[in-house]
Amino acid sequence: MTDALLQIEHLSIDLPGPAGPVRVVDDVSFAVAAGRTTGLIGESGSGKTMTATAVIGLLPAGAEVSGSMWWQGEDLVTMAEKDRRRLRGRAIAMIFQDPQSALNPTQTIGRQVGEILRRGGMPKQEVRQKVIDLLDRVGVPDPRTRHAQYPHQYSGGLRQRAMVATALAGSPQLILADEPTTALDVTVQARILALLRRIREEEGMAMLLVSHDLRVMAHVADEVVVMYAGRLCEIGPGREVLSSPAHPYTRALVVSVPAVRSRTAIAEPLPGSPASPADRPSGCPFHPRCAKARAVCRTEVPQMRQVAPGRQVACHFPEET
Amino acid sequence: MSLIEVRDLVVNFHSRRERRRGRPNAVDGVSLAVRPDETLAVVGESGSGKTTVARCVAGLQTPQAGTVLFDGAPVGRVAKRPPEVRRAIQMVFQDPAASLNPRMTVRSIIAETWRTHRSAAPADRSWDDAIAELLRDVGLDPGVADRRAPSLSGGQCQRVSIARALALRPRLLVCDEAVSALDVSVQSQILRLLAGLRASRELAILFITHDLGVVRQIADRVAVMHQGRLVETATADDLFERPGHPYTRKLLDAALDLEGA
Repeated sequence: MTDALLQIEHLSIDLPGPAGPVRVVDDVSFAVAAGRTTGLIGESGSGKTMTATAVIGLLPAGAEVSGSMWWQGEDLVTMAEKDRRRLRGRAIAMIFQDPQSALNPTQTIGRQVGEILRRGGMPKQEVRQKVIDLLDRVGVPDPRTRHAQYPHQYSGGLRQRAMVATALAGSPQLILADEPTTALDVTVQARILALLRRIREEEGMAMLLVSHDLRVMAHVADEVVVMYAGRLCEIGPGREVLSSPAHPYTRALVVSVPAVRSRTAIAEPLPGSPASPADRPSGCPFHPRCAKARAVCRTEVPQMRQVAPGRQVACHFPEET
Repeated sequence: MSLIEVRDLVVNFHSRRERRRGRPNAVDGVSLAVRPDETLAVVGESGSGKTTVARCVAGLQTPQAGTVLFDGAPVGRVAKRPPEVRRAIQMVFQDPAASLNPRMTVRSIIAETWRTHRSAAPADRSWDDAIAELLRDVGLDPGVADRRAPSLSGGQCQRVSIARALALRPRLLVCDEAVSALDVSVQSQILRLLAGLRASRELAILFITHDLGVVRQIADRVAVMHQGRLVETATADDLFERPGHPYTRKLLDAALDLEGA
């Protein structure tokens, strides 16, 4: 892809564990295109959050990273920490899952939204006006009063809006959003998703959205990347992947989502639990839970290959798409 | 007749002085009933009072006003309930790992319920055999009996919680967001299990959740709560096809589906 804003190539991450290093992300490659929303789908232990954490450069101490993450001709993996700090919060910003714990309870919302602007040397009065504009844009009512309030005076939905404003303050080209609506009620979730979509369209920025919620993905993601036990399963246009999945795991995820607008039977469940990266099965990591698994699946790791234009899958026996 | 009935329930977490100043009730005059063989889902957003209603039914919360009737007789908080009633109402919580003691084996977690309720303990065979059968009933390998919660996955922990509840042969299972914390591929396992148990054991289920898709799959009837009040109670089919209250319509409209995105 030529218009890739971020190009991740063969990314692997090892975290120190009690029994030696654990490979939580294994040989992951995908691109985030400028101006598009890329969705990273996975369950617990899939490595989706670690991948996003690596992009923003906030991996826990002792993490070993290999491969590359190309950002405007520079490799984020080998970049010096002081250069990464220059990008963080500015060109690349992050929205966290739980605004309750991501916001500092002892500082006003305005102070936190404006932090990146103050650090950039903007005069105080200008910062104040910019913060009020930002809060207004994300739909915080009465921003002239509310910018001086503290997080506990905000509801959950408003706190998430303040988080979005904080991310926007640095005029980012890429926003990483880790489960941005999981902690929110459905009516609030719908509004935050609409906000993210509107902002992305207005600003033309790219978004990497991390979530286990396929319903959210179906509504927001242009492209999706499905991960399981630290490895890639499937990449492709969101609508196509979620309506005709090529990987048996994606298929299983899709059928287990209960519908609201029609009555569906409870899905035939997958056996077992999501594989842990610390104890990743041999061959295809999904084979112990896969109804289609054959001998080769136990021994050979399937590589990503193209099955249709723009669609890649790592499966020895992919579904017809 | 209803197995459990809640009449005009009022719960307020504020002090008496604040209440006089008009601080709203967390639960404000809620009445509902669960028949012996049905699954009633209570849905609502955070702060709607749905969990507080469940806790009153289980006797973990004392209401300021209103009554909880079991088999037609009023019952108070759990410590004041007759052992038979305590045994008959069991609860499954949201966080599967936090609801099991990490230092106890699965065997001792289940056996503890029988030490508390001698009348429910198996009389005709060894406890180990009975535990093995319970674990098989919830889809676990009997070998799990010797393990502790930290070595089990979230789905396995939730199965142990359900086995612990079933050990006392309850007539009502109160499930508070029992599948919300689980991965979606594991969630359908637990939903299947609950639906199967209900059919095979003459069990009523009070299912508290915010997930309307799950409600549509397992509930016979649905009660919708908003700001402490019950806004609508209907059969699941009616509620989803013909929502009566504007708030119910708003909830349904906001819910996302995979289809039609």
